[in-house]
Amino acid sequence: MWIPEGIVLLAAIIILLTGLRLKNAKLLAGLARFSLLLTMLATILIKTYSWKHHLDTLISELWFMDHIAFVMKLTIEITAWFVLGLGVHYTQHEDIGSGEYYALTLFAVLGMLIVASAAHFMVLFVGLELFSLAIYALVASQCHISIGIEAAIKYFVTGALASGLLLYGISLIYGATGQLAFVPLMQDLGVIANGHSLLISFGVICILVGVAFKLGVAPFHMWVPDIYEGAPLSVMLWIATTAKIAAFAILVRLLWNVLAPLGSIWQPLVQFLALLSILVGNTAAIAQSNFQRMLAYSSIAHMGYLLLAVQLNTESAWSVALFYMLSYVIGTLTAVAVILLLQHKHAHIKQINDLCGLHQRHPWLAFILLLAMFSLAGVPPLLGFMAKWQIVQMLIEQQQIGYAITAMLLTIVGAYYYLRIIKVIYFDDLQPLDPAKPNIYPPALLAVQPTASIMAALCGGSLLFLGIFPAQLLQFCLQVF
Amino acid sequence: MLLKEYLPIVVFIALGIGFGLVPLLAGFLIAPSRPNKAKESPYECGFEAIETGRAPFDLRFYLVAILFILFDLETAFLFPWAVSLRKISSLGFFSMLFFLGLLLIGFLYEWCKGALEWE
Repeated sequence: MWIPEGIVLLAAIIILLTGLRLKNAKLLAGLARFSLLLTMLATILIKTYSWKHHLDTLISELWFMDHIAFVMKLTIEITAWFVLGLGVHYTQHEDIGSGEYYALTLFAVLGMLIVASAAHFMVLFVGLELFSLAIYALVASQCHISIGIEAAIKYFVTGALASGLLLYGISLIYGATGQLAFVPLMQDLGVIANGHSLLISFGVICILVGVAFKLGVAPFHMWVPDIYEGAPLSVMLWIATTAKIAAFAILVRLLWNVLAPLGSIWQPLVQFLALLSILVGNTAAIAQSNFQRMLAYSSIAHMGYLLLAVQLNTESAWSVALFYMLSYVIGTLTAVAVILLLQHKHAHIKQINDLCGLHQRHPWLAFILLLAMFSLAGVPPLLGFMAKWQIVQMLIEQQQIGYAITAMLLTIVGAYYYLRIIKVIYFDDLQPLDPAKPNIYPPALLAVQPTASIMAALCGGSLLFLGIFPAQLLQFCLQVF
Repeated sequence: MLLKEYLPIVVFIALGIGFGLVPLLAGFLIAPSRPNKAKESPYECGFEAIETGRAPFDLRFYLVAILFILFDLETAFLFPWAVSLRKISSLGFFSMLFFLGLLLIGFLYEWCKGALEWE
């Protein structure tokens, strides 16, 4: 039952110890990616085995083996594999690809897998801390750059505050009910849902605030832009995709598997968080000139749309939220993949204007970035459009027409900054970085990277393919909950 | 409510505060008091009492302190485990061995990395 987690743990230990002597970053990355492939295989095999033999989906009230756990684990493993594969050259080039880097990455994956299966508050918290601590250290992996250290300390302090609030909320719920395991706790909460005490509502609010910090939704979003800007690009991609899926897994476990009977407490709060995030994310992103900061505000807005589905608290709404999460992750992965490919020794791409005239030099990369931006903005026929459409349709079905209209109007505001990037890469002229060296243009390839290029193309292609044929994926998401 | 079950905790807190306060109060009331300048000045091992707060401070102090806490906490887990070994069956025994194995790997790593060498 614990084979996927076991493989990840073993691989992390092996990489940590061999990394002391072995300095070949490519080999270490290969080892990490190979172990993730094995983990994917093990996850699928265990799921099919337990499905065939009708095994229990709950192990001793501590560990879920249900569909949610399976889907979360598989998406975490696949995105982790992509993030590692896309970042190989970058980590080598920035000289951060040591044994510790890959060991910490795998420890973070281990924490995320634990979170996805947690059926007990303590298991959830241990998993959460495992992956959070690993990511704090990863953010600081360029320890000679002050902006990176600043980001790591900010992330650590806000993350510790969030964990503290979450733990406080858990202790209040425990104080009121005497239960820590999710299944009996949910039954107890169902009984007392109508006559709950102040203690329970306060606990629910603390838990919600803790998770909102981890997801990075307004008004608990202040850390997101600074961390996105300060972290190395490969770690930023990690925070923007895999860690967001893990945060979503925490949200599912806490709000759907425990606190669903108390929807009357948290649904209005989540509505507020959702609308504020969409507003703050979409408007603040307009003012950004740094690509990574713009992606940070874009992620805040996307988490807002996600919560707009979550606040409905029905099975189909959670499925749509999962669908939205997948579309956001693939879109962000594609966008950052292109930027990772373009980091040249003499020309780091930091500002949006550094992408001027990308179309003239690398038409294919420009096209992939165009797909990512259109998908994130929600333009048909891409996946991002289908995801937004599903959420709006769900809102209208539930008679929340006001929310649907607000979300759509703010999407139009948000389209501005995605379209600005497309304008820069297609309609602006190339600008030499340094007048003295006219041959070096900012959008330059780091190196010829066939694997990473194929992976980027795969991400971009899946945005288009899944946007045109979304039925299978949507059906899959609907069966999860 | 289950408030009765929390009574031992209240007793524990009261005892803890008492242990802290009683010796301080006893020292304050019973001990002879003959102050002079050296006695009054604040004392910190190995440092001047008053200097700039931005003095460089060797990072290895923190490293040693953190490593000490890690392995000190290990004994905090080992002690109750050893006492209740008869009751927790082989599952408890092997869980602890697993935990110790993970700690051992961390120890090997810090040793090979050179964190234990002062120079």
